[in-house]
Amino acid sequence: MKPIYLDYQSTTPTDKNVLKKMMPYFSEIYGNPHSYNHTFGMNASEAIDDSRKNIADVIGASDQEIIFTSGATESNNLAIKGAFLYRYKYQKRKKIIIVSTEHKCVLEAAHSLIPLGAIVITIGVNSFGQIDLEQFEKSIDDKVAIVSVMLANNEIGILQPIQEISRLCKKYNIWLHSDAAQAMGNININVNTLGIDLMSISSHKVYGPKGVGCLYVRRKPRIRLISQIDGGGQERLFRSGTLPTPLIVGFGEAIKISLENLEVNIKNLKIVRDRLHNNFINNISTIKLNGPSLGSNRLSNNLNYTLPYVSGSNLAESLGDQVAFSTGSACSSGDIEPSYVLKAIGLDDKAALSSFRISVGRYTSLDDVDRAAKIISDQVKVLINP
Amino acid sequence: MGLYLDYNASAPMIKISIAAMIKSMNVIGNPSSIHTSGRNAKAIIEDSRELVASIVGSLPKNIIFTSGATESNALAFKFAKNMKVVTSAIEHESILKQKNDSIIVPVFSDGLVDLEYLEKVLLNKKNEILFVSIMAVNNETGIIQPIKKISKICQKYKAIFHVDAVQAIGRIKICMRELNIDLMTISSHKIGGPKGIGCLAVNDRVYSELIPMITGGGQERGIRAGTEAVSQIAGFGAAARYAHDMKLSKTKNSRDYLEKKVLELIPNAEIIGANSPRVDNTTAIAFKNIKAENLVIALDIEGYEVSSGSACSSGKISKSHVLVAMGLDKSIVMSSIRISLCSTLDKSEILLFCKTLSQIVQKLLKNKKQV
Repeated sequence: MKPIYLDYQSTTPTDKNVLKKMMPYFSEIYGNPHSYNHTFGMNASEAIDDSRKNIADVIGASDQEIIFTSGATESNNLAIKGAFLYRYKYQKRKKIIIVSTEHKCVLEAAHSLIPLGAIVITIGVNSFGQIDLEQFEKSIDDKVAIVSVMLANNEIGILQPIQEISRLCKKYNIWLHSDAAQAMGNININVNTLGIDLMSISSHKVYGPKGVGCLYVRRKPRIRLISQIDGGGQERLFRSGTLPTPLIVGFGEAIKISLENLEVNIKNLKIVRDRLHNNFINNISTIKLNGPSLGSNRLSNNLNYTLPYVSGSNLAESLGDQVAFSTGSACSSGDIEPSYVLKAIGLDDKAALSSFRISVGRYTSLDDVDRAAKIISDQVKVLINP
Repeated sequence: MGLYLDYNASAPMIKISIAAMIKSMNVIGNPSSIHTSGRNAKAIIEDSRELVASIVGSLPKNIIFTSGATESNALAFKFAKNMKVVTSAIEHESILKQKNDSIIVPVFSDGLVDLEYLEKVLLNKKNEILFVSIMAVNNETGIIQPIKKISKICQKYKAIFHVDAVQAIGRIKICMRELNIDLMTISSHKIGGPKGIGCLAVNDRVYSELIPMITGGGQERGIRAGTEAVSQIAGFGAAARYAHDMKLSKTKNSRDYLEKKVLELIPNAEIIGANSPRVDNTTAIAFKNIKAENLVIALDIEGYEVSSGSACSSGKISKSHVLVAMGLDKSIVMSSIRISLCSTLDKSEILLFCKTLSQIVQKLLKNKKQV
């Protein structure tokens, strides 16, 4: 029997319609999209433009504001390094502000700039994971090059008050970057309403293929970046390299599908997610939810729990062939260190190691969550009372 | 009737590569996850890593998957940041744009790197840490560089040797271990695999000193963060297996016949690098007094897709720095097109192409005279 997949925040299966749309670009329309002077190249180039438009439309941007990359990690790296290096060089702005619960690649990208002269300021969060706005407001001034605050957290699902952060950034003309890898397809996002200048999106988190993503770069007022990969000058000099046509086509289609029925999707996710939560609460007396309460400012697909005396990684590993879920971010390559996100909201090492994340998605049924809850609850009982 | 003759810009995906990708898309997991779905995804990556390692003559652990050759070259050059870089005048833009103070070694009119010049440079700079980057096969002319000789020179002066082997894989044998290559760049979509994936292969010593460009979740042994593009990697692996059998090099007869017919039919045609060692799938031909871009567009109308120079310049038409570096006359540089093949063509197909080409050339010459 196939394991029940409840790790949608780690990655999502590629939608069948997305794959179908990609197919011709593997075998029939294979030109290099940069070979403008022949038909095969032009067809590939048009497909990329369509995809670009799909994505731009959905977030309220214009086509020229979308830069394709190899994924959200590259987008986050390009946004933070590119913006900092530009503003440091030309405007003498040397500060970078991040939040303690950002994705590892944001933390690492920011810290990698310290040897070049950057001052990195890390803002804390409250016990639900919400950014400390007071500390943030005190930390900003006209020396800040870029602020990076994720829209939704990958481990505890909290949605950050981006509009408020944007309003504060504008006072000092600070550029605001937001990692929207987890939020995309799960909430409505408009870069203008939210006041975002740079935004990272991943394809494989929205039922598109892995290996592609994009960075939104605002044109009015103009955001400038120093490119990180140079060469043929593709993507308006921001990002060189031959564009992977099928991936981009799949990405565009995935975004389109995700946003078509967004309201209905969110409602459905909440139904299965809440059912799973109720199952846990009813079956395991010691279980404790991490992050904001359900129904508040939390992603509709995310759950995160602490189970005293149970190792989260043991639990996930021992049930790995029955239910797929995780201890937190998948990106830490299987290392068993306590989650820094959980520690940031006040858990100690022991509690953080006794935690697990579970996330539902488009193909999760009520039957799936009922069965999964039973499997996990039974195993927990065995582990607590051996 | 038409033909795609621009395989050096991008090759159509081979069937086994497409099949491998589709199969892998049914595996859900994130390769870094510890559950079964995650481990299944990881297994796909590791299988491909072995296949890629075997075509470059390296070990699986020394293969770093990237988003493509441009990123691989950038990663190689980040490693070389504080070294004296020596490269050649005919490299790809993604090499030439990396460093302002690189020493550029010239090439002769036959397209081959001036080895004496290279040796002199290395001798002069022998007190610095040296990094030599020379491509194995040129993308515009197909000319093969004497990598073995260059490697010997590098060893003599303890220079680190990087090879951009994008156009060489599947066309000539190139083994990192035998040739003492320290770093090598490979692209998937030039060997019939998907676009958007490639790798940098490095030896153990270089691996320990690489500086990541994209940081984050610590994938690729800490050198290249980002969720691995599982299906891309699966497709790349399948293409590598195909390239390993040198199936991409079986175009010599077609290419030679094409060149022979072009020379017979078109008196002002000139094959570039005809007497140099070349890969079997590429030919660059100059048609004096004709603008290459007009020829490319006219051929496209007839359904034949060729290119003038490299595709990477995002549609801008400028003169080829490769042909200029070879010291070729401006009339040749501006009138050259590149034809690149990937499989055997029927003689009749080639003949038809050559006849069409000849007619277009005559027409363009006639129009020019009238103006």
